[in-house]
Amino acid sequence: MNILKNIFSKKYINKYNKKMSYLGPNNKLKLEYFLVTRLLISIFLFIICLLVPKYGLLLALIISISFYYLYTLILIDNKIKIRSDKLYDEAILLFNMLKLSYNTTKDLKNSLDIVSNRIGNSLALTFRNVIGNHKYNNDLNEIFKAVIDTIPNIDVRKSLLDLKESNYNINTIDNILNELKDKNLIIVKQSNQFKPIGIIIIGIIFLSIIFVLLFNINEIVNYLSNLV
Amino acid sequence: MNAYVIQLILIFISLVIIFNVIYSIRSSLLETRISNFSLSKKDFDDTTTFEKISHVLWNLVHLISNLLNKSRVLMKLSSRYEKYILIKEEDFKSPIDYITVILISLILSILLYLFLVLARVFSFNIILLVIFVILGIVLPSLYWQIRYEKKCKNISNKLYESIIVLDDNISKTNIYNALSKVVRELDDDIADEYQRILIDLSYNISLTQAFRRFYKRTRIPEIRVIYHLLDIDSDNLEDTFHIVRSNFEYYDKKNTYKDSLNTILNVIKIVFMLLPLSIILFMSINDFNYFNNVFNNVYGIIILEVIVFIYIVFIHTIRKMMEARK
Repeated sequence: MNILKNIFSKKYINKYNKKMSYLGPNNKLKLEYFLVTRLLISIFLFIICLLVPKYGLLLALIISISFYYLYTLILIDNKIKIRSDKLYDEAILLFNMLKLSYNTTKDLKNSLDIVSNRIGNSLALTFRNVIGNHKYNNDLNEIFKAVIDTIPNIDVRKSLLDLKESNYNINTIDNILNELKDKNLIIVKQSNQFKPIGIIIIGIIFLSIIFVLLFNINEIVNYLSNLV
Repeated sequence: MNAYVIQLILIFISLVIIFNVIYSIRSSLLETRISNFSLSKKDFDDTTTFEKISHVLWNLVHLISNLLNKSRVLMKLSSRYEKYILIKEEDFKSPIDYITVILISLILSILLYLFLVLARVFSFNIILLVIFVILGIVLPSLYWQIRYEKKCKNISNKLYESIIVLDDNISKTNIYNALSKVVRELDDDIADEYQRILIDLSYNISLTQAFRRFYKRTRIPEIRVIYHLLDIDSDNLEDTFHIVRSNFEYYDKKNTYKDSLNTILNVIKIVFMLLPLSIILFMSINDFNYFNNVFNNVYGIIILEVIVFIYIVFIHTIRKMMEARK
């Protein structure tokens, strides 16, 4: 972290720290590695593209900036989106198991401990890690606050907040489950609507490449055999 | 002369099959005529002719596999084929038979290769021999795996029905009766799996572990939910199965939303996939010599390979896009 503090401002580091926490407990990417490599590679690309004659400056600006954004998109934003899509099912399973185990234990922290040790998905793993850190602290508020900070999905975060603010009343879980299921169904429905357009656009791009190659195949072969 | 012998054998086999079919039709006609006048219905043999042939073939395989039974390594290897056997087939199939089938297909593929070399279809080549050996090993297991995945798809479609039957019956009777009711009510594939659960329970394995083994056999993600919920509370089965059923209701709704656009998407997919092929056909009909220059040149074949590669990537991306978000 000392290297980062010399280069970037505190606000910038905090912003990316929050994003890295959204990636979940199975994340292997380190913040230092990500920020330093992104900066160094984009500067390196800028210098190389400047060597191109005539349009060097324009190319350098376009390529380095687009690399800067693509690197974050592929390594961080895309992974966050995949995780937040999966969180609906994970949260539904976790709340169901909480409801069942509360009937026998009558203690939410105990049942959270039991449930999070039985399943291996990312939400349960974060609960397991946080409960391990707060072993001698019976305050559920701190545990829930620490977990809520690591969740990218708005609806799951809302449901955990709901449970926390209602003083851990187990009857709210039924409501939460219904809301989560309805929201997930709406999202699945919405994602279906844009699919035909995307398929048509990708199909036209690929088919045009194939047709250009097919219609001019004799000319291309003649050109290549004359070259060598 | 050799071809003449092969033709005679094939004609003989087909004549035997036709004779058997006519014989079975005649016996069934007789059965309907006699059964009106008989007090006790006789137990007629239910096995069909094709089943009889497959039984005879599997018995032959079983004779060879008695030799392989001695080696401990092959017995360990054969445990992975245990999931392919249905419960009603357990009388004449055992997991070691699958290894003997692979061995037989390997020998047959090598013999086919030698026959093709002797018939001068192509000259002797080590790479081709390796390809034939690999095909002989891989093809039978690939066939079984594809059939098994079809079976798993069938099971995941019928899973919700089985959960409904379990949930409705668990309040009236115990778990054994509810499970055996599922076996009676539903079709082959899923009934077979529930019969396996009943067998597991008879060996004193707990219900949670039985469902865990069910998940490990079929790898259907929804079954994981059942055993996680049973793991928490397996004493009060009524509540647990009620929650399981509400979960499955939600999965069922989700699947209907996922499939709602599939009819339109399938039409688009088929049109896009067939367009390049139809244009190649049209061009070759229009001008016979259009592709002559391409096949006689090294660069032409390279460009054709590039086109095929682009086409495969295109189909793969469309298939990936068809899958719905979770």
